[in-house]
Amino acid sequence: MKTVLVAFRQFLRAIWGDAMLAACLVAPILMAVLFRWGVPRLEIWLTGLLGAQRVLSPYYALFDLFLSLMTPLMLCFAGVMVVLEELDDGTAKYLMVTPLGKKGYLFSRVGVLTVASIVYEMVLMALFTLSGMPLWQNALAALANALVSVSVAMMVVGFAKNKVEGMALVKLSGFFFLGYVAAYFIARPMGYLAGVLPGYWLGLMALDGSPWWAAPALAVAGAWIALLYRRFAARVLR
Amino acid sequence: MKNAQATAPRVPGRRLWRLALGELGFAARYGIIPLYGLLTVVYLLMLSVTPPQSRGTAGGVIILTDPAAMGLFFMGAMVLLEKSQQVHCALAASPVRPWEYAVGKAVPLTAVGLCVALPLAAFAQMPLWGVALATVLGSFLFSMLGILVATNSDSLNRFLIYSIPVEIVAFVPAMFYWFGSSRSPLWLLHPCAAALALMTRDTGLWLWATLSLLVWNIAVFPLCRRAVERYFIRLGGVRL
Repeated sequence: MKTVLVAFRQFLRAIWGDAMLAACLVAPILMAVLFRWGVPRLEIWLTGLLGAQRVLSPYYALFDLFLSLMTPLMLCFAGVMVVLEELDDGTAKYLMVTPLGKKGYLFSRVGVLTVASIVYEMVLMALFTLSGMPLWQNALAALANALVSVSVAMMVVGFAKNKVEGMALVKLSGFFFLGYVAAYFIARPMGYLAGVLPGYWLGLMALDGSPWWAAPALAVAGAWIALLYRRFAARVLR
Repeated sequence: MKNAQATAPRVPGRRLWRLALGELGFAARYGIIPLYGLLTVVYLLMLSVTPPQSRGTAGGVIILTDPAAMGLFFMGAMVLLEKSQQVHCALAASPVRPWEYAVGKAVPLTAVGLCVALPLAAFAQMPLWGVALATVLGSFLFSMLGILVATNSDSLNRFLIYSIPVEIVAFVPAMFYWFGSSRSPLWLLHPCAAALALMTRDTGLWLWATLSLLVWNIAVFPLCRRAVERYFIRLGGVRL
């Protein structure tokens, strides 16, 4: 554990030097502030413009869910970019043969930040929720989205042979956001087709106010991790 | 044989063409082209659920921020990957000129961006010529900016950080123009507002918007060429 902490400290120093850590910590706050105070103003403007009573307000929970996924993803990307860099220039190989080991290396680069993101996301959501999302929904979404960010990290590191492919896969990870949109805009049972995305079930949880929808969200996120693990292990843990 | 090669006439643009083709091959191999094939389908689906009267507005935002700005997103990874593979050392010692390197990188990304933008524009019933012009000039400008940022970045994370202010300066005023009520011609001084103006049916603005984008491209291109030149010279921590 001590070696992991030492490696994590070195990693923190590297991303602090790049200002990436500051950006990853500040970006979700900026986004939260923009949603919390910008969206209601936009709603006033849109209702006046379109002559409707409500335009965006029925979807306030959707904004909250976007923020809830964006927070762990931002922190996960910082780690993933460093892993890609270290795999490309060969540093990763050298670190993995130190007492840190392969698993310790990955935990120091992606795992620690993902765990920290759960707490960070819950604090942000508690302070800036637009829809007044209750704490239990907030906690379940934070947990499921932390698992999603782990699966994104596995997908990028497992499939990307280099930085360019990594960036393409990072872009592809935006598909995880579509689950929320599907929950709101595609009627059931047709919408269940989007159930392969954990966000779909979290969207239903926010819509129906039922905690039971978090179970399939966690199960699907776990299934993504299980599915990607073999590929990921073949690339990094072999 | 050696002599025949040395005296073979030099075909202008052949090297540039080969560089661009090579980059296009890399874009396919590294998944950029398949990714954008998939994204085109997703964007078309998104436009299909958008009310018909708002499709042009949504289409403009999508085209400007993704296919046209692709260069800014991918250039860091492309340049830094070449750096880690020491491709630049070979290029710096080859007859390839810095401007050929920059244009050779921008052309394929512009071509891919065009292939994504045109189906979206057709679906959203936007003016195809205007969108094509906006995508080509916008994409070229973003690619140049991407190279400028990438040649000054040591890591991918640093590239991402450096590109944030560029994106803010590029997109925020353009969004004010696109969604705001003011249509003052002064907006066209901003390159992204000019690109958006080319995506409207108000053809009266097209000439000025095109001129604005051309001036921006002409202004940024020498900066980009010089950045690549400097980058090649200081490769490996020594001046070549």
